[in-house]
Amino acid sequence: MIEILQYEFMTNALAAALLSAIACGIVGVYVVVKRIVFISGGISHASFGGIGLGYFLGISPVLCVIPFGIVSALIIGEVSRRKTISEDTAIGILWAMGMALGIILISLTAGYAPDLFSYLFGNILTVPRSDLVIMLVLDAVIIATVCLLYKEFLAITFDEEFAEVAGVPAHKLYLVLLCLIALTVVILIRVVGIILVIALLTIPAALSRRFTDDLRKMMAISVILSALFSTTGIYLSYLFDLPSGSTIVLVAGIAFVVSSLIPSGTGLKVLR
Amino acid sequence: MTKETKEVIGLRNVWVHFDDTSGANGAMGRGRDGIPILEDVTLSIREHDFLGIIGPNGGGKTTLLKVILGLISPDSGEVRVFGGDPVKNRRFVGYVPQHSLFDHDFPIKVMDVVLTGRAGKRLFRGYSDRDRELARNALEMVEMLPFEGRQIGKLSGGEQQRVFIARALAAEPKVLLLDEPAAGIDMHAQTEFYELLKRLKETMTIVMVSHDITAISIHVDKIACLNRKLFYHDSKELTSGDLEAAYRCPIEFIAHGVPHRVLREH
Repeated sequence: MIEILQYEFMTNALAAALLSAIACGIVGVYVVVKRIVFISGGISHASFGGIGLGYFLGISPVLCVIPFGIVSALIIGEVSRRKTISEDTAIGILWAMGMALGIILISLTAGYAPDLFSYLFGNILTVPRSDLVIMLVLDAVIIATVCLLYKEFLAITFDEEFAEVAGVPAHKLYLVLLCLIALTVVILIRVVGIILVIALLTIPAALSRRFTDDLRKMMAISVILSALFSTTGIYLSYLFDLPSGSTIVLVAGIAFVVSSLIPSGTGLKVLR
Repeated sequence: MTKETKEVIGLRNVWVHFDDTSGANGAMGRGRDGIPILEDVTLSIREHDFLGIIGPNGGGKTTLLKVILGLISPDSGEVRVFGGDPVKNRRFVGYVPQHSLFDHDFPIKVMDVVLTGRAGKRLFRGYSDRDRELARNALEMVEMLPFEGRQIGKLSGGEQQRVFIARALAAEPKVLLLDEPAAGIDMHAQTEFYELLKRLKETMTIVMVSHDITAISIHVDKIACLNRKLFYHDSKELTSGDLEAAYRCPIEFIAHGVPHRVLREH
């Protein structure tokens, strides 16, 4: 197993797995406890428009996803507050429009889009060094924001209306939280791709809930689980020559199903 | 009844219309064309009042509280809280929402729930020692301090109710607004809950809304009746006409044997 580490693509892949585990472990916990899985799915799919824009303009698609994802997040957040249309309708529309825009932009771009498939379904074995730097910076932004706003985020995720009454600018901070989801999507694109992002945003966090009642510990456990799933998935995909993103998602999914079969209260909550 | 006491909450001719977002042809937002949910409500709540607002479900009780909290701005009319804007003066108001409406599985401990009552006091910084002291005091006051490390969903309905009261108290409010506080808690817990309110009313103004007429009427000092329109005489008396108008049907009301009567003798 050690000999595979001599390949640069493999060390890059492991670095990407660990860097993405930090983001999806922390932000995924908020996604799960605030029950905004569908919103996160909307943000990630709408972000595909950013990939298309990157191709069209001839610049890094991953960089283009950052503003695109943030704008999508802000639109969803604002629409959900105004209530002129129902939130899930708005998410569905944005979800499809972002994807459609991405496909049109790519078709308008001359030539063949060689790694399009890897943006959709991820290919952690082809992560270039430049993307690792982007991931590192985004991780730093996410960690700094969550450290700064931990108390406020806890208040708004538990009870947004009460937080507002208690003097917390709940809606603005909710928009910040949605932007963190958009940044996490950017980090995860290389690992599992836009379509499978939602798996790593939900499975590790949902699993960590079985071990503890504490949000901070949930984050730590979820980071570890996510790293474990990604590295296991990379290894299996290398061993059996399988698509890496899908293998990672299936590893995580199977772990979740197996753990669900264990009845709760059988000594799982050791870390209380 | 002293008329000289200070007015803490004042509503003048407040109208709120129903926010119809689920209509078949999409949405229309709130506006003057919608169905009114509060009709020309005028209400003055004075310092140290202990006011119960009764009325049928859908009669606008929660909306009224949210107007006072500045969460809903009225389509017309004026709302003043401590003589000023309700949003600006929220810091004087403690809010206890309907307690059954939260996510029981949320990974949060009792102490952290109570601390969120102080989350807006010093934004973007952690809780101070004083925040923790006030949260502890609030838990002490509702006799829930021994449960501070418990996950909130693992408490009984009555215990959760106390924690949510402590969360409101941690912000050191001058007015406490409670939405259907007795709903979903057993008789024994209700008795303890009203004992607690009796202690709290010594130091603050309390407004509670409920659809349960008898329970509320025994404990409060003043009572109002709300079904879109508000019926209130700044006292504990309502006429049978008020109740009939509010509930839109004649009500058989047995006032005998109740320590404080609700209905005027007739």
